[in-house]
Amino acid sequence: MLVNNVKISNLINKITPYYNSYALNKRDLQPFQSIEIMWEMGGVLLDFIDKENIKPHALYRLIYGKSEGSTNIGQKSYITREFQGRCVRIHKIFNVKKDIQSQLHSLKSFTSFRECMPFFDNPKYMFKGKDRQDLLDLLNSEKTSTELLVLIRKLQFKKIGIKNDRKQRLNDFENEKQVFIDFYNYCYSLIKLKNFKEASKGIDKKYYELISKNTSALCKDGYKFYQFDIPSASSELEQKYGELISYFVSKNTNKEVRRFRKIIPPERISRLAEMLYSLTNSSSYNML
Amino acid sequence: MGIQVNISPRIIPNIASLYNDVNRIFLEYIDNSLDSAEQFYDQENNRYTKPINIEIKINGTKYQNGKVEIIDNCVGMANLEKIVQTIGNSDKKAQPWTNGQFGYGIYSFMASSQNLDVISKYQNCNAYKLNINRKDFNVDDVSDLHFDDLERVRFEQETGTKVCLSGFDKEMWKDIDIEMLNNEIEKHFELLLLRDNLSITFNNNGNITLCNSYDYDRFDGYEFKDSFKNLESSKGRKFPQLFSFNLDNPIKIYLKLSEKEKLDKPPVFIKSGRRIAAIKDVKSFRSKHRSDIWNHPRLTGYVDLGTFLEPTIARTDFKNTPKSKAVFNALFEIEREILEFISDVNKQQDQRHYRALEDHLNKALSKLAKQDLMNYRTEYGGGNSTNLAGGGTGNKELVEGVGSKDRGDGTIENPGGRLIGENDGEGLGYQETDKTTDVPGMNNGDGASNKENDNPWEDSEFKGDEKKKSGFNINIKTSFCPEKENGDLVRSDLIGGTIEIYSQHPDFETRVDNKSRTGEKRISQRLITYIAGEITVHYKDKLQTRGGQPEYDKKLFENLVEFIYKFEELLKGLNGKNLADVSE
Repeated sequence: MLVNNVKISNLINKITPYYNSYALNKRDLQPFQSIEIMWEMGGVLLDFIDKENIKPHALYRLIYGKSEGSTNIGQKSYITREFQGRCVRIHKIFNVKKDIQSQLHSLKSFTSFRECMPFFDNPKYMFKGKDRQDLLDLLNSEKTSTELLVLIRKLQFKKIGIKNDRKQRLNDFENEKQVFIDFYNYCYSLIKLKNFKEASKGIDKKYYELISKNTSALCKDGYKFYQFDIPSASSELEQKYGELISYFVSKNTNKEVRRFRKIIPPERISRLAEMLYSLTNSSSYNML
Repeated sequence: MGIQVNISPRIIPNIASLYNDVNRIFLEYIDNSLDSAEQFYDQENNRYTKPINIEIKINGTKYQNGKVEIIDNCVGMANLEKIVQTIGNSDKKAQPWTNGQFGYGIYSFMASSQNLDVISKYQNCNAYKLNINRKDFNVDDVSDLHFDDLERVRFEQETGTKVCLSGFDKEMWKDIDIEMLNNEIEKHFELLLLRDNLSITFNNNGNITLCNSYDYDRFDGYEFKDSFKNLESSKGRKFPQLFSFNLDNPIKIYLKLSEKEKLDKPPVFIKSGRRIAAIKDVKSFRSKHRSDIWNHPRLTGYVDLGTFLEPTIARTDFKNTPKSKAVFNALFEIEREILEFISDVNKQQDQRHYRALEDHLNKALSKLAKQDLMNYRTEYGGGNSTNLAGGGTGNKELVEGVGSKDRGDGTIENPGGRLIGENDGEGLGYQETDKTTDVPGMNNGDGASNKENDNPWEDSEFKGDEKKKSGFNINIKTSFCPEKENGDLVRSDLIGGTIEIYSQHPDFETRVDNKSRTGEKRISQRLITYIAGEITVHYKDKLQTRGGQPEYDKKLFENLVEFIYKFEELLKGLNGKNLADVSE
């Protein structure tokens, strides 16, 4: 269902005081108090979800924006999708607000609870009856946060087993990463020559200027890409890098380039753009 | 039988009165000595085959008894009397390698003093002395002008010449300025002084100093070199006659643009090793770039014409000939390249000066960011902490990248300890204190600058600990300005942990005061406000990411503007400064 921007803005305005009371005071709040605030915010979100008949994750994306979705959504707020999701989950875990304090009265750190959330709400791993009470006792125990976390990790390993390090898709870009690094180091070796004539020998300046601009466009969403042809006289390294850029230029969404930025830091990308540009004119070269 | 001409000898002291600078008079005699040394010059090796010593000796402190001697050990004169026998007809006129034309320079003493003694010894001959007195020329007719016979004297050297000026006019004696004369010699004979085996010394009542060639290395700068071998010019409009010149010894151009020092030596034309005049002052050279090239305060150098052109009598210009036209044509053509050279240098300097400006911005932002505990600036302690890009901290390597992350909910984590069910927040990590950042488990290349083994980037050779400091890294980029998908140019952006400000953006460029003819840029108040505004946008965005969702009310905007004003206040010292002076 399509939800208009006004409704989203109103919703953001509604949840903002909750978010801010958490974000600005989290160091002073008791862990259960943080959870209570999140519970309240989760309630507002759930109401909206029910009323507008929207999928929760679609809503989170509308509120936070920038994401790896197939469509580009500009950032609308600073309340991350994971925070929203957590609020909704907390609201579902505790039927009434007062349960939070009564069940998590001696909770030492929010992180411990957060790590245990799958055991409270995921149908696959949910603890019931005595197991649930034991888990609550553990969270309220005198153990330090670190000790608790070690125990929870063991529990996670035993009950869930899968470790999602969020990097699976990043491995898809191993080749691209290597192409980038090789080309980066090659350009650096030209800069290191400190001799523009020598460094720019055989360089197609027009082409380098274009791939410099395209490289710069990889740094951030919303930058313009320029169409280009890889010159036939290119070296293997130039050819490969040209193909890498072509790949991103040809994509309609930023999904791939965002993943690529998780492997190659944007500062490096920006730096390569600068090095490439410097190889097209002596004054820029001499200043690098 | 035609009309007989009689020229009065009085004309000689009258012409001499054109020398209104006593120091210039001494240059004439030094010039004569250098002409006399030409016989010993080995062009191939740019050296004299015997040590040539020219000494300018000043004796006495008062004009009544003061004397100035110019002594050399060059060839000497075989016919000393010829000096007075052939005024206006120098032998040297037929010698293209020497400078003399009329044999008049020897009479220049008359502008400053009463007497000139010339003592000269030619090889295997006796030394003779000739005395010339200014008052002897105060007669109507050449036939009334007589000189004493040459007097045989002793001369300390095997060959050479000594001229001695005495009986100085009071004002002229007072104007003798050794330092200025030294400077003039260094500039006037700069190419001759580069030859090996030549020394020109001053002996001022026992204080001896040596003249050196003008030292182009004494200031940092950028060189421009070129030469012309084939020249062309034409004469006549309707039926132009073409002239082509193929030179054995090319005309050489050497220019140097200082980095920031203003120089009191504009580029000059040099003929036969001697300065003719500053190029900007040569009237027959009708350049459109007298001001922005030839009178550029930071540009110096010369155009060495060898012996190709003939100067006018005043030696401040060149005779209008096909040769001079050909040289000037070639210079007009190369002026565009020189302008590009100056522009390139200015661009390079801009980049360097912007590095210095970045440091000022970093400091100012750091002060404000300390209050908000915004620590996104990376610094490296100890060791070799400069990188390829060099310059200010604004350009130092960043390492956080995909390292520690702001999870959006305020917690900070590193990917090595990533938790189940967690989503990657975008953005950078932050630390409240200046702790050394170490990101365990990070092997994606970023942040590896201190870990040589894992580091795939060949430009990261940092030593020392990486530290997070308050503020951001600020980088004023002079390359190009990225374009948004909608065609708008990007003013600035936060790339990783660096705020990049694009100086090529028209909004930036129009705020740089760039009115100076030399291309020097000045920081305007408008530019300060612009930079403060741009940085504030990224700063506040980051602050909100960390500190909470802003509530959309008037306070939000007031808060934004307040930050700009505070930042502006910290930068107010830069207002009106030349960009070049920012680093000082």
